[in-house]
Amino acid sequence: MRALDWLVLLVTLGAIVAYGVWKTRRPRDMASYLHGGYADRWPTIGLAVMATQASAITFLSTPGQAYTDGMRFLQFYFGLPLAMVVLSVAFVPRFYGLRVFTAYELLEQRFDRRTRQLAAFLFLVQRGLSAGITIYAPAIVLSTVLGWSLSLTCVAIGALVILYTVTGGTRAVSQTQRHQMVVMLGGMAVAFVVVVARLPPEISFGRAVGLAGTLGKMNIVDFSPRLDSRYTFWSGITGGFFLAMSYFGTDQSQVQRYLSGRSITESRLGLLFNGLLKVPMQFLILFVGVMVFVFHQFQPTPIFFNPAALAAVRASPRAGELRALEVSQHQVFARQQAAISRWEGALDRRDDGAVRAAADDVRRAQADTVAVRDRARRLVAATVPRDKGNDTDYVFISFVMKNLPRGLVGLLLAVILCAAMSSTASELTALGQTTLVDFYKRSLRPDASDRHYLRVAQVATAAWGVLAVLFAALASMVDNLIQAVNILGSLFYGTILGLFLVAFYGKRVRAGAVFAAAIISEAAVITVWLATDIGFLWFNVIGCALVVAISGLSGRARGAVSVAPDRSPPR
Amino acid sequence: MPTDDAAPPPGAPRAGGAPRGEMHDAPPFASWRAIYVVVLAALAAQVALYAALTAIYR
Repeated sequence: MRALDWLVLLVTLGAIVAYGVWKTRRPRDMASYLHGGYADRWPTIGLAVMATQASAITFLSTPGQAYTDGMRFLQFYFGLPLAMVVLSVAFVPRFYGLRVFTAYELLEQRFDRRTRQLAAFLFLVQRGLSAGITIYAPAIVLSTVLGWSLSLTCVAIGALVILYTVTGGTRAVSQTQRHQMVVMLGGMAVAFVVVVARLPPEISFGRAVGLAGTLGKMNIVDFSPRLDSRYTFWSGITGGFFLAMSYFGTDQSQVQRYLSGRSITESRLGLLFNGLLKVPMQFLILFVGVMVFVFHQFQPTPIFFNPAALAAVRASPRAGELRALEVSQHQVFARQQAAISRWEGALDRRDDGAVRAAADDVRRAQADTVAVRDRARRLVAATVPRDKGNDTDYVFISFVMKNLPRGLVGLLLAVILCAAMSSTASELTALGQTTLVDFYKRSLRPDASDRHYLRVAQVATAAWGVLAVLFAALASMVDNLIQAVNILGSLFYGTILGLFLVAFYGKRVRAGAVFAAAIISEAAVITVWLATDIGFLWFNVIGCALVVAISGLSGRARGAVSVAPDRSPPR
Repeated sequence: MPTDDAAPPPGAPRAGGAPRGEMHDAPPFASWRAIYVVVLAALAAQVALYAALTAIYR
């Protein structure tokens, strides 16, 4: 990395963190630490909500996902705008009306302490693990590509986040996220412009999209009703809706963002702002990945995008196999170039038959490229077992490092680190809040002073930060980082959402019944995950539906018992 | 209110958040219903656009 890139990176990160610390120094009491004095306006809330969800994984993994799997991942977000509307109508007024610090307090007001702490515990488990992955994801990729130490990268990201979350609390998180989100969106827009500009001059933007479509990457919407397909319109609009409802409605890392609003109006508008912008933002990120894919149709592609794993194979006794695969890849690449030239020529001549024939040749060459890369993946997995042969997360960063001009590399690294910090900061403050409010203050020290609680909140936030860094430093490579986070969330979110829906609408359900329903549902979801191939988005629907159904049955049974005497005929 | 617990013990959620800035809830423009329709219409328009792109570039 060049000096100018270092300068851009350090100035961007340093300025944002320093601004956050300075602007929110010395919180006076627990309320101002936990909810920032309820001062945020809707643009800040909207950007903070988006920045919380957009982790570094979003910017590293998503373009790589589009590179290998096309645009279909976009459908995952189709349920989100719908969820924002429902949350604005049903959830936000209830949270405001009950004056809660955490979402889980509401469950005690409706049911009992046990149910509240069960939901809070499920949140702490899944969000605590996710916080580690949120730090680990960029650290493993950046350390591999840039040669940085993995442990040091984890510690550096964690230390910066702990610094401003512990000193400034929720308001520091919101203030920094506003600027981080601007850097993230600006950086991705720059990356999009650069990748399109780096295409060969004879390839127009329209032709580039056409080539992506020919090679199956413009598979944005799939209306087929297949349950085993991870991303379809139906799983996105239903499973994605339930996941978004659970994440934004019951995950404290998001709930705290909009509960820090100046008024209920500001909170609602912030959520709806997210509902308007989220899908286009994800489209942009995925489309950058597709354009990187098109770019690589004209430039020699690494046979495997993780340079460290490739170097390990080269140094192993199986280096000869790798060289043979690279020769095959060069041959296929030359064949693909010729096919693409024929395809372009046929398009210029407007010869539909020749266009179809050349497109078939391009697809065949692409299938051969994929086959060679698959063999390389298997070779890497066999030679470097901890790598598991997955290079999706290295696709975008590899493009950035090799093709972006001086200065912009630093900007894109700032995007990735801003994203890591923004989502981690929300997670840590939420974990600290929940530990304090739902466990410490509720069960251990209910009558301590405000100053004492402020200190405990800061210590809890810092402790979760240290735990997340330790987990990140010890974590091993998982299949695909963004999917790992979403699968982990989906295992718990459905159950938690079910608890809230029963709290809102199950008037006759008692605490014991909903608690048992939650335990049974969580066990069922984990069983489904372990024993079937059902796409993970459906876990949210299953968990939620089971809690509602089991609680509903108990409510009906209870209703039947309670009304029975009135219905008995008079003697 | 809790249904099973007779009364919330000390430290229960009633001690929760500080007084809100305001509970007043009127959008700064149009009506809530109109804003919800805009958000959902934007989603529908995007799905239609993406479906068209999928069909065109198949």
